[in-house]
Amino acid sequence: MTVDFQSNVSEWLAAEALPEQGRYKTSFKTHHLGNIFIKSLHGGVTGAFMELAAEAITRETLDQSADLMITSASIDYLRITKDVDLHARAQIVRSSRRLSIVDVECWQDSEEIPVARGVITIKVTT
Amino acid sequence: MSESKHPAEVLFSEGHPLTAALNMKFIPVGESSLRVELDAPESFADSNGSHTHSGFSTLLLDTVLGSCAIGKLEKMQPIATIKLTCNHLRRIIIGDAIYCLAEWNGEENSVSFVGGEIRRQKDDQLLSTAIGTFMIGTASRPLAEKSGEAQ
Repeated sequence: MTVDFQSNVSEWLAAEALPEQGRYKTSFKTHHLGNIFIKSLHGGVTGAFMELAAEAITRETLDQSADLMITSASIDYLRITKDVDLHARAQIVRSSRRLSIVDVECWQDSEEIPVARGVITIKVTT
Repeated sequence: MSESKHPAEVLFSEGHPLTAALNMKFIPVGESSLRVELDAPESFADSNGSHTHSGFSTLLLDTVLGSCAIGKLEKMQPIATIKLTCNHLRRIIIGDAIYCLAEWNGEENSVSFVGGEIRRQKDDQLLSTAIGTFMIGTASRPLAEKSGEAQ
């Protein structure tokens, strides 16, 4: 099942779920820029998108009425980004009644050249 | 460059797209801290609609911690986030007046270390915390060289 990205934040990020489970994309917008001189994405935009992806993959595997609260995000920025679309692959590492721990990796040009990776922890309340 | 403005405030001038979205007020605190005040924006609401998504807090913390690092630079040059770790304790209500306080912890080997937190203005309730590390100087040319600002 694919989760609809129906929120202001996903609209601001221009984020969407792709048909393949665990794959997400944010389409580049000018307001995603952090350094406007070298036209790289804001690190916070990448981080926010990764949190959204982790939340979405968790939602896909749970009761839709479950309350999800992201409690922590640890993000490593591997490469300078540029002003193009950002892709993410999210994978649940561990899911229990109360927690979901999700690995997320992001890339732009090629999945083989990741620009960021992180671990997102989500508190689940059913 | 205005002498009264924090260097990051100059960088995040009216022309910066993020500034238009967040309407941030920069307030330097002492020599090593930076406080940024704003109202929690509806444009970052989660699917519930009454709170901002945690991604907004991450975006704000990256912005303010990075700005704090910029404020400690001897010459204006680009920085890049290397690592950011955030803990989100409570959801932020849309429209609440909040502030993000960042404190510079030091710089070693061209890496700047900054900690910070987001709190609600009316009662100082803690909402999020973060630790960030930033690489000083990137592959790009110095900002002032590109923007025409005096160094």
